[in-house]
Amino acid sequence: MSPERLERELRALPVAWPPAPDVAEAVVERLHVEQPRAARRSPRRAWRAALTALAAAVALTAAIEPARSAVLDWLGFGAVSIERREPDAPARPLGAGLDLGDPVSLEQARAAVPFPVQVPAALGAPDRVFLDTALGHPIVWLAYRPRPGLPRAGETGVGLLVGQLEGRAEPLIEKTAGAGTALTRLRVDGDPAMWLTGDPHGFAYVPPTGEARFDDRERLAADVLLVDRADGVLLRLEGDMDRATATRVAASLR
Amino acid sequence: MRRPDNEPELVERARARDLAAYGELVRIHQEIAFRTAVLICGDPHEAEEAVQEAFVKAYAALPRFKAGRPLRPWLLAIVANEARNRRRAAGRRTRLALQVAEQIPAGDQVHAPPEAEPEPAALATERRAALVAALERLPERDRTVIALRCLLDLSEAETAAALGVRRGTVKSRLSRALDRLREEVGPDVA
Repeated sequence: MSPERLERELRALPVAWPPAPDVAEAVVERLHVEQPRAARRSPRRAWRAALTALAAAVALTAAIEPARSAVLDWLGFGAVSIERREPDAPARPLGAGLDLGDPVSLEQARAAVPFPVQVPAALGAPDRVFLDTALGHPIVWLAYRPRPGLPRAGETGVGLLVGQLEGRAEPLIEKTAGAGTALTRLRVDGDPAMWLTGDPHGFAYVPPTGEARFDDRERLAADVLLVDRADGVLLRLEGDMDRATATRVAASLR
Repeated sequence: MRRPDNEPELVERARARDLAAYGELVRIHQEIAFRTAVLICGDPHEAEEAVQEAFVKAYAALPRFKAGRPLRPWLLAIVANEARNRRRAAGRRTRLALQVAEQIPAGDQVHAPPEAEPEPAALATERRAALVAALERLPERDRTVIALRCLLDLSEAETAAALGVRRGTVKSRLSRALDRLREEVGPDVA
């Protein structure tokens, strides 16, 4: 096992951290008492500051509450439990730890790759964009947060990933689809497409110049729609959406 | 959490003794501060006190903070120091008990076709359990650097600040710790 793989596995461990207490109010209160009288602001400003701090504390408590009620499981003294599912409030930025490459802007991604990077009109601008160059040829990932129709995929906090690269899924699709994977062939906008469900699947394909690649880095381990587009771009949609949603999103790329 | 755009402004105001601005900075950084403290002192109650104390001390030290730099590594250094002191004072050798939950969320089953076997999910859980158990067997120093870097996702600079060492040391320590973890966890059976 490579060191990179081990590090990846560690980063993918969903840690259920004990809920962080809100200390802001207590800190401000202590500092207010300890601050030399001469340095204090006018009573009116102090009053306003106290109100601001209170509002912040209330907002924070509201933000923490869902996480508390989620699977966060504090096992008591000196213990951090690890759950297979992440708390409702994602602790990491969208897509972090999924091995998607470097976070970039859409413009940067477009400037860096030789194919046109498209965005699904059905969803609008992505929440985050990543440029993955680890395999020697670029893959652009658009990441979307969960939303109606795009449920949170497993423990990742991601609603949908849209990957675009130069390559073809055929004829290696059988390799991609292992024994536990169900494969359905369909068409998206006239292009051949495959809908994969079941076991987590790797990603076998042929880039335009090199030999076949197998990218076994698991990302969402959710359902996958692959589209071999006529323009040579291989489209990969990953998420917990249903097939109709996936094909609708894939067909809306502009 | 990413550095908010208005952080330099908040720092400026806090340096001018604006407590509301400082409260805002505490709110932004307290979660990562608490997790760092938990990893170092191994106890959430101690960690909470360490974080509170650290933020009070950091306010007094703010005039010495170099404006324009990221605040987080600087804060984490103070927090980690406070957490270490408390751990030492308590004379406790608490270890973090990392555990993998047995339960597989129902959601995982939804997409498996009826004919598919449930092995992969079970394997993944087993693999995680093996990894966490191996992590538990590592010496404290190895475990902390791995936890800060890989579980808490601190940057190299932040980890260096929290451990009070140089970045190069973080790099070599992490690499050695991962080597030992790899030996400990054994061959990948998955």
